Amino acid sequence: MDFEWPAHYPHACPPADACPRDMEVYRAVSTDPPEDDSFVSARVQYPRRPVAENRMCQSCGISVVRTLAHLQRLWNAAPGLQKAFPLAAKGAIRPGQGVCMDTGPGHVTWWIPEGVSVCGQFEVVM
Amino acid sequence: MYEDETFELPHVGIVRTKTVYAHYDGPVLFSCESRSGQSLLAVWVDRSETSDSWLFLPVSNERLQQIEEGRVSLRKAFLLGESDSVWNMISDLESGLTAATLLRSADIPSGYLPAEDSLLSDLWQRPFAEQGPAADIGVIADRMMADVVDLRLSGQAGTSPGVPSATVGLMLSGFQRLVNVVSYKGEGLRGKVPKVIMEKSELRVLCSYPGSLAFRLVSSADPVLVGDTDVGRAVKSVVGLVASKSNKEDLSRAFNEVGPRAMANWKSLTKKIGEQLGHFELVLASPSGDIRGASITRDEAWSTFSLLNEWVDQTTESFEVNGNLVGGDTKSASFHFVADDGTEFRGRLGQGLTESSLTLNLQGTAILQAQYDVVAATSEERIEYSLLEWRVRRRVGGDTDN
Repeated sequence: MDFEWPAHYPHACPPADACPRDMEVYRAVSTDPPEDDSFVSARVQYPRRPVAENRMCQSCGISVVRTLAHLQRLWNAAPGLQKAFPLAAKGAIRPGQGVCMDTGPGHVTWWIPEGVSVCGQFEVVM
Repeated sequence: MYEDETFELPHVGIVRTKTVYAHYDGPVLFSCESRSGQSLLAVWVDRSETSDSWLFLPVSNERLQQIEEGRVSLRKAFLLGESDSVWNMISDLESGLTAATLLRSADIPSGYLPAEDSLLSDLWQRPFAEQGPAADIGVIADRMMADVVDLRLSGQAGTSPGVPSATVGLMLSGFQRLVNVVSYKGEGLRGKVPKVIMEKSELRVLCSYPGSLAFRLVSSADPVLVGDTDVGRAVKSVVGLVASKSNKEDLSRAFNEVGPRAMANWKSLTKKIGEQLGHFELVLASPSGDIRGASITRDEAWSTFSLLNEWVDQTTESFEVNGNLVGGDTKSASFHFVADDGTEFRGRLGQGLTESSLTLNLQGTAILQAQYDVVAATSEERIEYSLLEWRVRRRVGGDTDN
């Protein structure tokens, strides 16, 4: 499947291991209903922030988690995350909407191609 | 925030990220280390329109390990810090530039604290490759439902650091062969170790540990639900062999269990340990929950080797095999025998065997003697067979003679 990736992505990003998936995930958001802003990567939101070269590609993707319980554990551990994004939105990643890679226990990084809007398929559940 | 490899914190100086425990569009919980070696645990605690607020807790490495393992909750870690104070870093959302204030632990706003029951271990597990050997081996064996072996080698004092790479290879291959031949003995068979046994007793290196010559090996056989496995039983016997050191009684008992072939292999390994290592240590964890280990120093290895060298007769064994004698020549004193299972034995004729007693192409029972050895130059196992006796049973494809 060919995707058009944003121009700011570094070379070999997304990684070769990342692949299209069809899966349900959760994303912490700040508005109900979720808006496009909630699915923008940190790299786009804060382009001036220094990022290590080996983390640059991951910062071009967005974080989603596989379960609500995992999101709750993240909120419990890092109160800043819950204050910034207090709502849990459930949605689906479809094969035509970019590529994903498991990047930690329960954590998935999702690289969304240029011109693809995904907020409409997410719904706040908590 | 704090996504660079190193970054500068007011009052603390330049720090380097050690481990990111939780990531959500960037690190939200991580550890870092200052240039002076001070570890800090950092957590994102608040957000305003223009900045993020973080707590950076100075911690000793021991305390950090307790937190990582979930023995201390995240909340308790910040409330009961070792230095009774914590840095509150305010970072500009756009630039990442940070300002700092020092907070007493008691003055940390309650909204900044992780939840009561929040454990770092619920979010993150130390990767295998970073785990210390032996300490968690039982957990890993249980999780993988496989036999797990930690093998630790150390070089000799007073020599160049490390261990020659060739020695590491010899130790790993020598240990694997020892396990193979003990497994094979368990099968009650002789001769070349069949492929199926080698596959069943294969151990694979799962990881090694930075800062030491320790390897974690795991059985490649299919995981089991409960109880002992073939390779686990074999490694247990090897642990018993190592633990016997040069104690005659213990060693004798261990040999009864593992057999002369394993003894020849262990003798070769003790020589290598004595020549090239300072210490050899072995720990086994089985999925049944059994954990056992043994170690041997260079001097102990030499003593063991000397003792084994005296027990030459213990590296031979005699056994009966049914099959077909397909070749025998008294002039060259050689024979060729094919066992019923297809195993071929070639070697020397024993004393007392005459031309007339070597009727060929007949089914019968051979009494063979195997002399086991490991060639020092190549570290390859050598087995020399002697045909001690040949009893004819019946003609091939014909009637029974006697």
